This record gives sequence, C-alpha cells and structure tokens, in this order.
Amino acid sequence: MEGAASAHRELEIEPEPSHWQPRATWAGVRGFTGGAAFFLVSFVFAYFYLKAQDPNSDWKIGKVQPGIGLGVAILVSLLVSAAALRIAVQRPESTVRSGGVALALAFLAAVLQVIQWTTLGFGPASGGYASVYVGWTIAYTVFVLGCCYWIETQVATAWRRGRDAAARAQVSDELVHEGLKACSFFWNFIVFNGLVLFVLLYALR
Amino acid sequence: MTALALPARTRQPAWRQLLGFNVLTGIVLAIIGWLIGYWLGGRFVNIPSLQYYTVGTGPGQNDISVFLGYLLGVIGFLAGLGFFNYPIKRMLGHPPSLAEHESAGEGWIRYFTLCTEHKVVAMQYLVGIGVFFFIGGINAMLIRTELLQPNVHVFGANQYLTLVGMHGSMMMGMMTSGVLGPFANWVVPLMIGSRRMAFPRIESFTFWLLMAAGVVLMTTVFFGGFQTGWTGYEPLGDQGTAGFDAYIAFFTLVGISMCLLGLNVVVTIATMRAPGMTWSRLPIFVWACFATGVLMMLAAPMLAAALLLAALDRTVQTAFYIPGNGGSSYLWENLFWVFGHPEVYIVALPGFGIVLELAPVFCRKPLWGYRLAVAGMLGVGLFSFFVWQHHLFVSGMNADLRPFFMLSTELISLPTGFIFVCMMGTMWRGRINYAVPWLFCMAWAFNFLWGGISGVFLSDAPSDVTTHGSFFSMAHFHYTIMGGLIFAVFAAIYYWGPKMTGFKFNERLAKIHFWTLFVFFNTTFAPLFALGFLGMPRRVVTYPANLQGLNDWVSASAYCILGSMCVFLVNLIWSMVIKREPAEDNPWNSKSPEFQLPTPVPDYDYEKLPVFDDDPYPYGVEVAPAAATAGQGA
Repeated sequence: MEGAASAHRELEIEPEPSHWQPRATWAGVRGFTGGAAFFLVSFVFAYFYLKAQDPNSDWKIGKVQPGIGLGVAILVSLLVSAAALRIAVQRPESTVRSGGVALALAFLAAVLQVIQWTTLGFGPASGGYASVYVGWTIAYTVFVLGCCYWIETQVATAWRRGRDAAARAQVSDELVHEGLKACSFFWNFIVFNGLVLFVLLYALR
Repeated sequence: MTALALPARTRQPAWRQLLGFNVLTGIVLAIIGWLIGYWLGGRFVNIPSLQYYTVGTGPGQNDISVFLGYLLGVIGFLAGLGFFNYPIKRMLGHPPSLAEHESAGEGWIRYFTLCTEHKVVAMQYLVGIGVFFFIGGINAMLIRTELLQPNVHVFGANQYLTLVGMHGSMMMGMMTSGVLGPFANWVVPLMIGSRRMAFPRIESFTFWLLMAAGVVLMTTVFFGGFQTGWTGYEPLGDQGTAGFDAYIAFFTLVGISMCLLGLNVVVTIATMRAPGMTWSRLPIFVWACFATGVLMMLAAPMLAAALLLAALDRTVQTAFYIPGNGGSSYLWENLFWVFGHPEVYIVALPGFGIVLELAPVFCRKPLWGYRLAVAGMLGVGLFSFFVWQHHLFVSGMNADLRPFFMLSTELISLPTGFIFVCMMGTMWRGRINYAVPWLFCMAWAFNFLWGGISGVFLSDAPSDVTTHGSFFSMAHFHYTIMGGLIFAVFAAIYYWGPKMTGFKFNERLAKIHFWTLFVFFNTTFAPLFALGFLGMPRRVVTYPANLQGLNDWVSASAYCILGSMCVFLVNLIWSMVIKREPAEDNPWNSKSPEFQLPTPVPDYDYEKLPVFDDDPYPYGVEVAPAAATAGQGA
C-alpha cells in the first residue's frame, strides 16, 4: 500500500477541465433551488388546503393577526438585502461592503421574525392559519439563517482575497465569482419566497 | 492546463487515527449531543415566554426533549466525523477547495471517516446499507414468526405494529439510496470520464447522514415504538408515543440525504462529462441515475416538509394534522404521497438502468431502443408526480378526481413497458450468457411483470376498493420493490462487485443464492395475493383461523429467503475475506469504460481524461472498440 502511495506521488495526473467546477456550482444551485421550491411550496399547499377545507370554521380561532408593521419591516429588510447582494455580484470591487450590508439585513430579518413570534398574541394552536403562520415562518427563518451563513462565507472570502495574495492564487476568480453568483441566485429565490409569504400571511390574511 | 500531482498522504499511527475525526469520535459526540439536547428540551418547557409553544408537553412525554436530543446527537456525530471543519474554514474566508482531505492517512481507516474519494464512499454505502437491509430483513422474519398462528402468541399488537413499521421504514428509507449510493457513486464518474462526483463532501455527508438515520430509527424501541407503519398516517402518528418522534427524525434525515444525493448525481452527470460523452452517448445506467436523481432532488423535500409539520404538531403545538383545531389529517396523506409515489419509482428506476446496462453485455448485442429506454425512464419520472391520489381512492376523496388519477396511474405503465420492450428487443437473437448477474436480471423481469400486472388492480378505483389495505397490495409492492430492486441490486453486486472489491465471487455459491432466492421469493409472496383476496388485512396481528395454512407456508418460505441470504453472506465472506481470488480487469468482456481500467481501480481513476468517440454499446460489431479509447489508468 505504501509503495502504491509513493507511486501515486510520482504520477502526473492530467487535471480536470477548469470550467467543470464553476459549471457544477451553476447547476448545483439551480438544482438545490428546485428542491427548496418543492419544500417551501408544501407550506403554500398547506395554506390553501387548510383554508379551503375548514369544515368547522376554525381557520382562525379568536383574534389571529400578526403585526403588519413587523411584517413589512421583515420584507423590506429582505428585499434590500437581496438588492445589496446583487450589487456585490455586479461590482466585484464592492463585494465586501455590499455583501456586508446584505448579510446584516438578512440577519436583521431573522431577528425581527423572532421578535414577531414573541409578540404574536396568539398561539400555534389557534386554528389552521396560526399553524401555517408558525410552521412556515419557522422553516423560512431556518432558510434565512442558512443564507446568512452562505453570504458570510462569500464576504469573508472576498475580504481575505483582498488582503492576501496567497489566497488569491489558490483559486481562480471565475470559481469565486461563480460561488457569489450562486449565493445571490439562491438568496433572491428565498427573498421571493418571503414575498409570497408576506402576501399570503400578512396582506391577504 | 498544468499537471496536478495528487497530494501525498501521511500515514499516522493507529492510536492517533482513532483520536482524530472518525466514526468513533462521532459516536462519542453523538451521545454527548443527545444528552445535552434532551436536557435542554426539559428546560424549554419551563420558560414562561414560550408558554404558547410548549403548553401541551408534559413530564410524561416531552417530545421537544426527544427531538432536540436527536438534533444535537446528529450534529455531534457529524462534528466528530469532521463535517464542520471545512464550513468553519469557509467562514474564516478560506477559498473553496476540493483537494482537502479531512481524514488523513489511508487504508481501512478511510472507510470510517469523512472521505471524499467516490469509490470509498460507494463501498461505505454498500456495506452500511447492507447492514440496515439485514436488520430490516430480521424484522420481516419476526413479523412472519408472529403470523405463524392466527392469534397473538409472540409479540403484543403494539410490538407487532412497531416491527411492521420498522421493517417498512428501514427498507423504504434505506433502499432509496440502495443503488445510487453504492453504484452511482462508484460507476457514474467512471462511465462519464470524471474522477469524482461534483460535490465530494456532500457525497460523504449523504452517507453518514443515512447511517445516523438508521440508528435513530432503531431507538424507537426505547420510546414505545410507533404503530403507523412506514406511511406514518395521521392522526394516528400524532397520538403516538415518543417512538413516533424517531420515525419523524429518521425520515427527515433520509429525505435530506436523498435530496442531496440526487442533486449530486444530477449535477455530476450534467456538468462533468469528458469530451465526446454527449447526452446521446450516456450509458443507459447513467440515464437511470439521472432520472432517479431528479426525482430524489424534488420529491424528498416534500417529505421533509410534511415531517416538519408533524414535528411541529408534536412539539410547539401547531395543528396541521389535528382536525379539531383547523388542521386535517388528509394534508399529511397528500403531502406524504406526493413524495411517496415518486419514491416508488426512485426505487424502481435504478433497477431498470441496471437491467438495461447489463443486457447488451450478456446478450452481446447493442442495446435495442436506446432512445425508447431513455424516454421510458424520463416518462416514468415525469408521470410519477401525477399519480399520488390513487393511494387515497378509499379515503373519502372527491369522486370526480378518481378517473384522472386512475388514468394517470395506468398511463405510467406505458413508459414502464418501454423498458421491458427494450430488454426483450436486446435479448432477441442475442448470444445470451446465463451468468449470475444476467440470471438476476431475468428474474427481475419476471417479478416486476407480476408486480406491474397486480398494480393494475390497485390503480383501478373499482377493484382498489376491495384490494386496498389488504395483503394483495402488500404482495404487489413486494413484487415491484423486492422483486424489482433487490434482484437488480444483486445483479449489480455480482456484475460490478469483483471490479469494486478486486476479488471474484464463488460462482457455485452465487448460483445457489440466485435459485434459492428466486424460488423462495415467489413461494413467499405469490400466496399473499391469495391471502389478500381472502380478506386478510395488512397491519393486523390476528387473522381468521382458516388462513393459517397459507400463512404458515408463507412464513416457512420467508425463513428460506433468510437462508438464501445467508448463502450470499457465506459467499461474501468466503470470496472477499478467506479465499480472495483476484478478479480479472474485465471478467464480462464488457465495453463499458470502467471495465477498461485495471482492477482494483486506482485512486485517480484515469491518468488522462478519456475521450469518447463511439456509442456506449458497440457489441456484435467486428473489432468494435471500447467506448473509451483513451485515458486508461496506468
């Protein structure tokens, strides 16, 4: 086995084409978005299914109205965050600054949602709407926090590459930029889902 | 392009390897994580500001504690394996990297670590899934033991139902990755001329997550089990003991694993094909993996979402599936079967691919109807999303919906029929080599045909009314899933196994295994059709005394299946551990790229990337070249 290992070290292995990994990142994020869409559409299905069935008129039990002010604040944070990350993609020199803004606003949206939960005034068992509200926003916040992590890695990578020549030499600009574009693509999708959530859970009620 | 030398691996002392990131560390951290999670769950229910969310939980059954225990236990397990090292480095701004190996060293320790080598992950899958398949099989034997008599005589009703649920969940959960895990991970990169999967860490992650899931399911016995069967129907699930939490956690982990495995396979096939490997030259097995991967990627998240709702009902007191509070148990049935029926084809499609991949090799002819076969696989995948309500024919669904789902279900038999036509067309006037892998493929055709024909009775609403929920439907899906997938998996094991392991199987033992499995499979499951027609329902521990004769016959046959599996195990140990006769590079005279490489296949697979310049099945052509004409390993 050791002999084989030393033989490996002497081999000159032809590298794989440099465009493979960026393409894989491009395709991967689109596939993952497809999976996430099927996950999140389950909540849309639950919303319409329970609202349509509602045999005992218990879609809403009592006064069930989440605060619209916090809902708007969450949505605005998300939209501005998506726009900031888009700018980071289009202007690589501002990745750290715009990406940092996007990260801060995404995290703010998650914090606002936590505040919303603690001031709801109704519980998860207050009918079908309340269940969908609590379940959907919990799942959504998990996605937002996951995206916070992803945006942070992109900002940190750009920051390190801006200061460290060795870090720049390790990986091609194309691969790093494709990673940022993938992150922005998925974040846009999540924010779009936030818009759908706002329309169904706040605007239409 | 510059040449890339593989990174040198350092061999550490065994004691040092044991203290590093490996499964042992993972198990220790999993136990610690479980204890912390369980303790935290106990604390949460006493926090006043969370009263809305925890009001229904009490000291007798704290589902929050159980779920947090599972969550932190799994996180601890993954941390112990080193899955968080790379994400933390990325948080610190280190660039994306593929060359990094969390597990230093080589040799047997690689199989117990986070390893990004696709052939190692494939072997991990093969063994890991095999272990859980064996456990699921033992559950089946216990079920048949209980059914030796018409009254309760070994287990109580609840234990019996838990056995049924564990058997079904273990088999359906684990076997979804039964082909893509071991064989797609091993073969697909080689077939398309790549050296790796697109996302190697995710590849390893899916395996270890699946193993964690299997252990989680087995812990259900400590919390009272679950009585819902593998379908987890509500509101029975919501009324269940904490054992149902294990079911939810198990299938959630399986769903995440499935989704990421499918994604990885799809992206690998779509973006990492070597020059000349066009879509129309993809081996048919790769097409099957592609279609399956798409289904896994899209269907599994629906399951995860449905389970999340169930978990929320049991922890923070939502009412998704609780009719009294604005919920509906039919919401579960719909969400579950939107996943559940594609799941059936997730299990079946890889079997199609294996059979059609082996057909040209053992019939020495090009694959007949290549495009028809591809259309069949993609058609099955597409239609599988439009048939789910046939599971709800007798659940009070709107009668106007029945004709649509009846027809859509029957329509799916057309693309399935394409697969049979292509297999028969390839066999027609071929020079058939009746080696063990091909025997399993022919048995697959026989079994799956019966599974398909019996499926017509279940897809027709009028006949489904009498056959639904009976042993008839159980016989049907065992013919399709065990008779289909498991026979195809054994074909793949005997076909690719020598290439994967480097050692030959004993031919005589392999034939004994085949014939006993084929005969006893049919003597076990064919009588279940009759039992179903005679009115024996599924998931009921007792039955009328006049059905005991048939049941005893089935149980005796089932024990013989276990005996057949033991022959396989003996063969495995004899061939791989005791005798270890080296396998040839190309024992089947295949023209597939993986068989043009030396055995065992080197770590780097191809020294130079291959260039594909021919169709994948040039059999029967004089002096036909192998599909890959370059890039053979050293």
